[in-house]
Amino acid sequence: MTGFLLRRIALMIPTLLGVAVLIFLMLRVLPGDIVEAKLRGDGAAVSAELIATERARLGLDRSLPIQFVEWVSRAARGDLGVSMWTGQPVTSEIGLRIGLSLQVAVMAALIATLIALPLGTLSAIYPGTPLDYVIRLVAASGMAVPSFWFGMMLILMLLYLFNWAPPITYTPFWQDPLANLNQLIWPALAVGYRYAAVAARMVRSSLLEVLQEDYIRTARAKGTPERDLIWRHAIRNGLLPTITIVGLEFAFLVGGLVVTEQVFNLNGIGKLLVQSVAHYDYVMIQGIVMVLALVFVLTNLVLDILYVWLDPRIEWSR
Amino acid sequence: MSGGDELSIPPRRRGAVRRFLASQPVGTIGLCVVVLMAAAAAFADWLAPYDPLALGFDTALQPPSMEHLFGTDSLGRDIFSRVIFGARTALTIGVSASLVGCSIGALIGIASAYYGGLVDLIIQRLTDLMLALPIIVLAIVIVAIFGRSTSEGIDLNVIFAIAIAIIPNAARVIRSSALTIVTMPYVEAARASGLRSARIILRHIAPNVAAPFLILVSAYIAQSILLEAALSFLGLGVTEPQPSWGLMLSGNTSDFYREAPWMIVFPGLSITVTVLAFSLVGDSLRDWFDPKFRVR
Repeated sequence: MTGFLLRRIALMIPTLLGVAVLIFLMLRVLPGDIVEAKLRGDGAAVSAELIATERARLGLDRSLPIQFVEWVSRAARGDLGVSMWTGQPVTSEIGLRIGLSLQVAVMAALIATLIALPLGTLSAIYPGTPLDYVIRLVAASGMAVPSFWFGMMLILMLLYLFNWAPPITYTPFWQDPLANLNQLIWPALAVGYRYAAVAARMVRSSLLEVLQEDYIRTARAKGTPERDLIWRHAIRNGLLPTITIVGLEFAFLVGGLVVTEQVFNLNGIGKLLVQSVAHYDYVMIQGIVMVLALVFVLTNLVLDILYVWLDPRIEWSR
Repeated sequence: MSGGDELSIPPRRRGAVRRFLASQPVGTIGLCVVVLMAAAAAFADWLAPYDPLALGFDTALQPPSMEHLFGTDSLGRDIFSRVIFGARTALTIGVSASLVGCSIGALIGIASAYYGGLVDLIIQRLTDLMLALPIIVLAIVIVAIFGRSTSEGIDLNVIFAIAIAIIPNAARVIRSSALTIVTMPYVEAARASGLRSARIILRHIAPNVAAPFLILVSAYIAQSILLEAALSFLGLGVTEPQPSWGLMLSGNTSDFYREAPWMIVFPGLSITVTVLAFSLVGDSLRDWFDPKFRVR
C-alpha cells in the first residue's frame, strides 16, 4: 500500500507543475502589462520611470524563465510569493480563507449525498413511473438554478418566514459550533441543491446500468428478494461512479463557491479570487489557482484510495 | 444543419422533427420555451413595453402591477422590459460562446483522435490540466487576462472567456466519439487515396460526430448562460446599463430583500427557466440519438 501511495503522490507532481506552467504563461505572456494595468487602471498619467521602478520591485524586469523557475522553486517549498496588492504573503492570505471554503464544501457534499442517494436509488428502482419523473424534474431543475440565486431565495424565504437573515460575521467552528453552522448551513444548502442534482442523476444512471448486469439477473433468478438484490448486490457497484462525481464536484466546489460566497458575504477563497482579479493581483491569482489545483489532485488521491477499498477487483499493486 | 430547400431532404429524414416531437414530450416542452425565449430576444424592441434603460425616479421600487408586470427596480426601470432584453444578452452570449467553444473543442478532439500518438498525448495532458480547475475559475482567470471589451453592445471577451473555458471538456467528449470513427474503413480509404488530413477531418470525420456535437452544444448553451449570469453578477461580465439577468441580481439589489423582492425573483427565474429548457432539449436529443439511454 505504501508503494501505491508513493506512486500516486509522485503522479501529482506533473499535474501541479503543468498547471503552474499554464497559469504562469496565461498571466505573464499574454497581452497586457501587469504594472501598467495596475498603475494606469484609473486613467492616471504615470511616468515610464515609475513603471520601471515598480516592475523592478515586483521582479518583473527579469526574464520570464528566471521568474518562472524562481516562483516554482519557492512554491515547492510552500511559499507562493507576496500579494501585489496587500503586501502580505499569499499563503497566509489564502490560509485565512481556505478553511471557510473547505467547510462549506464539506457540508454541501454531505447534504448532497444525503439527498442524492435515496432519490437516485428510488428513481432507478422505479424507472418510468411518476415518482421517477418527479425526481428527474427536481434534479434537472437543480442543475438549472444558479446556486447564487438559490441562495438569495433562501435568504428571502428566511426573511419572510422568520424575519431572520443569516449572520454576516464569521464565527470559527471551534469557538461556537452552533453560531458557525447557523451561518454556513445556508450557503451549503444553496450550492448543495445543484450538487445533489448532479449526484442523484449519477446514482440513477449507474444503478440502472448495474441492474442490467448478468449477475443481477442470476441473483434474481435464484430468488433473491428484491430488497437484498438492491442493497447487497447492486448498490455497491452502482456507488463507484457516484463517489467519483461527489469527489470531483467537491474539488470544484472549493473554488466554485466564488459567486455564492458573494451572496452570503463570506470571506472565502472565491471572494479573494474576485478581489485579486479586480486589483490585478497576479501573484495572488497564481497562488489561488495552485491551491485549487492542489485540492483537485488531493481529492483524486483520496478517490483512488476509496476505489481500492470499495472495489475488490482493484488492487493496491495497480 | 442540412442545407438546401425542403425537396433536397431525403424522404427518410423528412419526418425527423415530427418524430422527435412525438417521442420526446419533455424535450418538446423545453424546445417550446427555447423558441419563446428566442422570440423574446429577437423581437425585444417590439415586445418590451418600456425602454429597458429608461430611469424613472418617481416610479422606483413599484411592486408588480398591470402597468409594470414584474415591478420596477431601485432606479425605476421596468423589470419586465429588462428581463426581455436580458434574454437577448443571455442567448447571444450563451449561443455564441457554446458554438465557438464546442466547435474549437470538437476540432481539437477530432485532431487528437485522428493523429493519435504524441499529438494525442500532448492534447490530452493539456485538457487534463485545464479540467483540474473549476470552469468558473477558468472563466474568471481569462477575464482577468483580457479585461473586458465590448463591440456594438456585445461583450466579446465574456463570450471569449466562456468559450475557452468549455473547450477542454468539449475536446474530451468529441475525442471519445471520434476515436471509434478514425478506425473505420472509409477513413482508411480516404487516407489511402491520398486526401489531405484537413479534408478527411472536415468531410469524413466531422459529419459523423454531429450527434454528440449537437447534444454538447445545447448542453453548453445552458452552461454558458449560467456562467454569463455568474460572471455578470460578480461584476466581471456584462456591464451596466446593458440588461443582463445576472447583472440585475448584483450591486445594490441585495439591499432590497425586504422592500422589493421582485427585483430578485424575476431575473433569477428567467435564468432558471431558460437554462432548464436548454438542458431538457439537450437531454432529449441525447435520448433520441442514443436509444441505449432510453428509459426502459
